[in-house]
Amino acid sequence: MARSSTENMITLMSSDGEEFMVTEKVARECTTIRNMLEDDCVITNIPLPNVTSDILSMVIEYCMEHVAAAEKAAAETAEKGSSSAPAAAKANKDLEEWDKAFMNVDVYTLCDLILAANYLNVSGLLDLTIQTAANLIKGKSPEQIRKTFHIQNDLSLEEEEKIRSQTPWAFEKSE
Amino acid sequence: MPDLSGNSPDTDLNQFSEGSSSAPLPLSNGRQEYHNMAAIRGSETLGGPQVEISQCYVLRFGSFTVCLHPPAGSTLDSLSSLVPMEISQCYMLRFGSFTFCLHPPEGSTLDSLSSLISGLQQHAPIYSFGPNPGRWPEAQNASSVSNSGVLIPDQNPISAPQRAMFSGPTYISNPGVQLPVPSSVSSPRFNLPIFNPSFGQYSVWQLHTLNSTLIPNPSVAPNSNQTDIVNSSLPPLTYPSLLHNPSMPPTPNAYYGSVPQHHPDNLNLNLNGGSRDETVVLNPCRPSQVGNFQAQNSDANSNQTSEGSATAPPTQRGLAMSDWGLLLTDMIDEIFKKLAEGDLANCRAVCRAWNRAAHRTNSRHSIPLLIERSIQNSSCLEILSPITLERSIISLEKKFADSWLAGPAYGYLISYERRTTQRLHLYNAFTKQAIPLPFMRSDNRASSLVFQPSLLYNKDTTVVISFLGVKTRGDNSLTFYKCQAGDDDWKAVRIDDLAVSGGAHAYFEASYYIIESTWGPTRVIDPDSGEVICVIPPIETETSTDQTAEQHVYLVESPMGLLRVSRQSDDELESFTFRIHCLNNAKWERVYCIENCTLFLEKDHGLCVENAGTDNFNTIFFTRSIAANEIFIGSRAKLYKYSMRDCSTLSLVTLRTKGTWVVPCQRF
Repeated sequence: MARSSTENMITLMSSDGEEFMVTEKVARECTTIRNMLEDDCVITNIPLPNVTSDILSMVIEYCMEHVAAAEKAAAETAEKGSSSAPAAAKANKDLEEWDKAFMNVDVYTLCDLILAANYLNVSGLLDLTIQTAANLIKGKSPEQIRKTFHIQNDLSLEEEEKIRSQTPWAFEKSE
Repeated sequence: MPDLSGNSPDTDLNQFSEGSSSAPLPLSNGRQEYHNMAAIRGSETLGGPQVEISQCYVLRFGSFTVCLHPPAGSTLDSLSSLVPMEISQCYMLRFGSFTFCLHPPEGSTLDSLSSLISGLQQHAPIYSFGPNPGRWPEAQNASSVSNSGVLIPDQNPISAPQRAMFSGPTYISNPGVQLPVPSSVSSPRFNLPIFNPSFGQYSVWQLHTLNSTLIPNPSVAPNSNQTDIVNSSLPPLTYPSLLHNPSMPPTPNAYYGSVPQHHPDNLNLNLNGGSRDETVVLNPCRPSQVGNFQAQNSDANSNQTSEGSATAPPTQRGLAMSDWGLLLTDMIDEIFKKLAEGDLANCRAVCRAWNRAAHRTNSRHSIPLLIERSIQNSSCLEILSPITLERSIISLEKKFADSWLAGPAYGYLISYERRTTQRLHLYNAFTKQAIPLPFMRSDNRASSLVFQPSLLYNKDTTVVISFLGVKTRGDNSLTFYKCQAGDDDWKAVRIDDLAVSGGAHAYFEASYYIIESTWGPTRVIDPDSGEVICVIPPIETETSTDQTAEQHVYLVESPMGLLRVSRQSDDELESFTFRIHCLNNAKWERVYCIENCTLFLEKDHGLCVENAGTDNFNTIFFTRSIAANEIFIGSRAKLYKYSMRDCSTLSLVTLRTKGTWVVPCQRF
């Protein structure tokens, strides 16, 4: 099976037709793509019909950052023979900071990112986005949650009253 | 690994692409897409429950596989002769007799998929594709959905192992979201309205049709009289053949799906508003050949259609995908798993979809919370979730601000005052409901001691508390108090001659049980007469260190019966070993696994909860005082989680007091 010199570059194509050239290593961060690559080693162009270009670019940005961090850590370990704990801790912290900044997005983008991370099966990004969403919910009243996520309240007054009466203790803060 | 350039099994089996090379042809845009496709047709009849297998095509697009009705007579064998890789990479999604296959998780086998499918068949509730986007029937009037009907498996009735199969990247559980049907840039999309009778709502599916030939079979007209979709007899329908083979030139005759003309399970996809004579063939790779074959004409028209759809999506996408209310139920479940009980309760009041999700997620409703008095504010209680380890605060009724609470219990704890008057209540800290109990007369309880009872039992209108009196001369006594609804006094049974202070005791099946010392016998006492009914022989020691090591014994009521749980500790290493015995024929029998149960232990008793989430099966949560040489003021305790599986202990969190377990329910 002859391989060309560009074997490491994969083209990912978003639903709106934009193409992203990424290294195979970055693309492999997405388990879905990794599986495709492992089945069909000659595949170089992968259409991702469920991911728009803006979301795909964010996913790629995330994967690139995490691949770079992992490579850097590996290189340091190789250099020094053994990884120094403080350096590794700092690198981890840096990456956490980066993740945190990365998650500074509006809720629509976050929703799309969750779906994309799920579809592409990027476990790190999925965890990150899910946790971010959970953090947005924490400590909020139902009304505040609806406002935050722009959710239409389709519960009738009676239904809502019933739900509240089932767990009155939970709604103390919001009253 | 398929070899695309050679005679792969795919090509051998792909009888629909006869005469064409399976090597990908460069398409007009120069891209190489969807290398591989196999459509399988078998010839034998399949018996048994796997009819669905016999009713789907397996189409492979690259590593993406779609399964539609295979011709009748397909067998598992004929499907398994697909390269295993393909089967191992698809999910089977079943919509009535219409089945999609998308990537399944690694390790899936034909067996696991077929059992999945037969499981889905049993549980599939009914959803339907609306007949005409232009005029959707009223939501309540399901029977008017006349000429189409599709079953979509609801995830709820699917059992856990089956659900686990859906853990990968797929969009199945929410009928309002897109299916990852292969698509691309210029893909025309069309919307499929889906009626969901259990929600009473419509939602729109946007189906991408890149490289797909979608053919409503014109030869079968819908029978509008057959409207009974509710009991899942599907109306006669035509079904689309979603077929693609890039290696074949997409000509008007390029649809090569073998469409049984009068298949009983035909599915009708009415793409364009109801004209039955319409055959739509979409192939965006060759826009010029995309056709709306109404009597084989109107080529230009369809070009516009496809371009129009390609530009429209951004707004549609925004609606379809960025709606948090309609976010994939799997994803909502994941988010809710990260939340503490209070936040989850708030989520339930957000909207219907979230309400359902919170209910579904929350098997944790039955998981006890650890309650302790707040250190900042004595009129508040601090609640700790043993799962999320998050704390929240609830206020106490003023009346109970000076009371103490004892558990463990479902819903109602016992509240008592430590000093003079002994007005006892059952108090639900979550609903703030209180039930007064008989007054505890002073001669009825051990005098001159701080009254600090334990709650042993509060079910079936019976309340049993116990009080351990330690007198100065080492003369220990244990008193059980029992009262039932309607009683105006407590019935006390006092055990005076206790060898050591403490010892586990319980009320189980209308008898009192006392274990005085770890290696001692268990006394069973009649609650009315106070007589010893029988004595259960002590358990046998297992190792030589047993006798010397520190042991702590609990008695816990469980679905298996009364459990005798002993904990052996090595304080320095914080290592623990639990040994569980179950009462069986007046003997303690060793139990090595408590299966789907979780124990929540405190002092010398606890709660046994079933189905507290797979992570917590066969585990023990327990609190324990830590050594007093800590610099903290006041008593300190720790919460641990012990796994019966690998006998490992996890130290979870430090507590101010040992707290008490309470399940936040309203049951009494």
